[in-house]
Amino acid sequence: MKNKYGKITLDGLIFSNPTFMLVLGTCPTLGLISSATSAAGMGLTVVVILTLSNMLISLLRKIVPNEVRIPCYIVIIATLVTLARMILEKFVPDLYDSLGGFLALIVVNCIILGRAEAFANKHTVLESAVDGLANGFGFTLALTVMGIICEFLGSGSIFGLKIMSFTIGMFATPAGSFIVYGLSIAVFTYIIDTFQRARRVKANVLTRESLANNAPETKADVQDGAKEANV
Amino acid sequence: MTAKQFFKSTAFKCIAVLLSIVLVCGILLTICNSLFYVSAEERLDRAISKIYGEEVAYEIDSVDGDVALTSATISEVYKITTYEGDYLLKVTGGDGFSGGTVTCWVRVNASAEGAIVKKISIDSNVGQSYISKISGGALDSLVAKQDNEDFTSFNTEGIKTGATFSMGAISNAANGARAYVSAKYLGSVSKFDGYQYGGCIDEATTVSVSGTEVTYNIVTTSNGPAQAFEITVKVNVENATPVITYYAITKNGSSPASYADKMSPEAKNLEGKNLADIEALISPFTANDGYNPDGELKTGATAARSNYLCYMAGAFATANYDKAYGQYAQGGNE
Repeated sequence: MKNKYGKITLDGLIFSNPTFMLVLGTCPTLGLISSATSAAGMGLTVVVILTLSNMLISLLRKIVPNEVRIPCYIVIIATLVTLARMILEKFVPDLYDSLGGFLALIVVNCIILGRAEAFANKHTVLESAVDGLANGFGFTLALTVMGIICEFLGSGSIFGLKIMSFTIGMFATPAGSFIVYGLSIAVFTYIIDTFQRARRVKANVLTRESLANNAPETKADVQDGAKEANV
Repeated sequence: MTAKQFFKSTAFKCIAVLLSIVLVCGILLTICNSLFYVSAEERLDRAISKIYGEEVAYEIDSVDGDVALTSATISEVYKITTYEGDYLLKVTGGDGFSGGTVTCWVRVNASAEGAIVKKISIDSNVGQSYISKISGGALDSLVAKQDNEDFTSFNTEGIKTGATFSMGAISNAANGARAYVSAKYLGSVSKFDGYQYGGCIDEATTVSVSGTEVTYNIVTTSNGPAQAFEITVKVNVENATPVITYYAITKNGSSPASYADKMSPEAKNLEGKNLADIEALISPFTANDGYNPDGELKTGATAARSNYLCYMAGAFATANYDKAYGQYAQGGNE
């Protein structure tokens, strides 16, 4: 049981990371990673909406007919996004302003609809909640890391804190974000590939060793074994 | 299909479930909307807190609709009584990205030195996707670069936001707030008050009269990325109609400079044109936010903003011939 939730968490955070591995949610990614604060804010908002939408969709999965599931998901997600907008505007106006139009665009974020369709409508509420949290935090981590890189290079600051006066203006624009995004995918994929290759090699070695340990070593041993079986 | 069959069918179930979800969501949103509604008073308090960092006393002032502003609309004015000469204005600046607007709170101080913008804070926007790229620091830098001339977002070296057109709308809002305070509270009158086609004409423009010829040394405002043009225009009367007899661009504000070559031949030389001719050139722009004329291929390299400034300069010179002649013929210059 514990292993199942661990697998869901690791998949969402690393092995099926929505940003780096599945390349989902590209629009807000490219639009917001020029500022680490905006990127982290967007990520955290998605965590809340994704978790709640996954839970609600999982809860309603046996009630909602298959034919109208997508309109139902859209209505639920749009309601949650509108609620998030109201709450942010009321209590965190600075974050609301910094997210701009991208906040409303969460309604059509592929990650949220993708997880609803691929996971939440086939799993329990708890599993869907864990999946939402894992994917949401995977998205947040990816955005924040790229946000830090872009803000550092484009504005010479990190989370608004000025660090250096030298800047490369391009990294404050979506064009620079695109380059950082591409390079981040390459680096992340390389790391995961290397890790999985090492894991496969280790698994192969273990299999070979266990086969070697269990295999009869000589012809005499095989004959002895046959005699014992006859007896 | 009987009624009983219909109520048992999947189609009915689909409609019922979808409508139920929509109804529940609608009720929830209605309740939350009344709970989380941000009132105008709360917005004002937020703006004051952002701009002053403390509670201040204020009086509501009425908006004077007679003050003419270019690319800006004043919606609210507050006199801050805590600070002498301080005004807080809610201004909507136009000509942003894709013709959109940005609404800002602008703190302006009116003193003997004139109207000075002290702080700008963004309130809301229409169609500005990259507004989030404009930080408070960028707005402070814009205010710090203030001099006696208007704000021009496209000429503020060192401020890199990635949202230049939105900065243009903010600059227009700040210019509008300053012009409003100057006109209403400092009593300054525009040099070309009552002149036609003055929307793109800077106060630095000079006029002189020699015989029946009126010479304008026109300095335009900026128009998006196109910076101010300086154009010498001479107008004389031919067949009872004012006609441009001399036209020379002394400073081409096209930005980048290579766009100067892309300007239309008419914009480069309006010699021989009267007001009707120039109005025909301007008319496609008027319905398209001043830079995007109808029927023109939108390649992004049409120098349309530069053309517009030149046409407006020509229209200003010809349309106001009689007024300028009457005002400056008595030996008066500028």
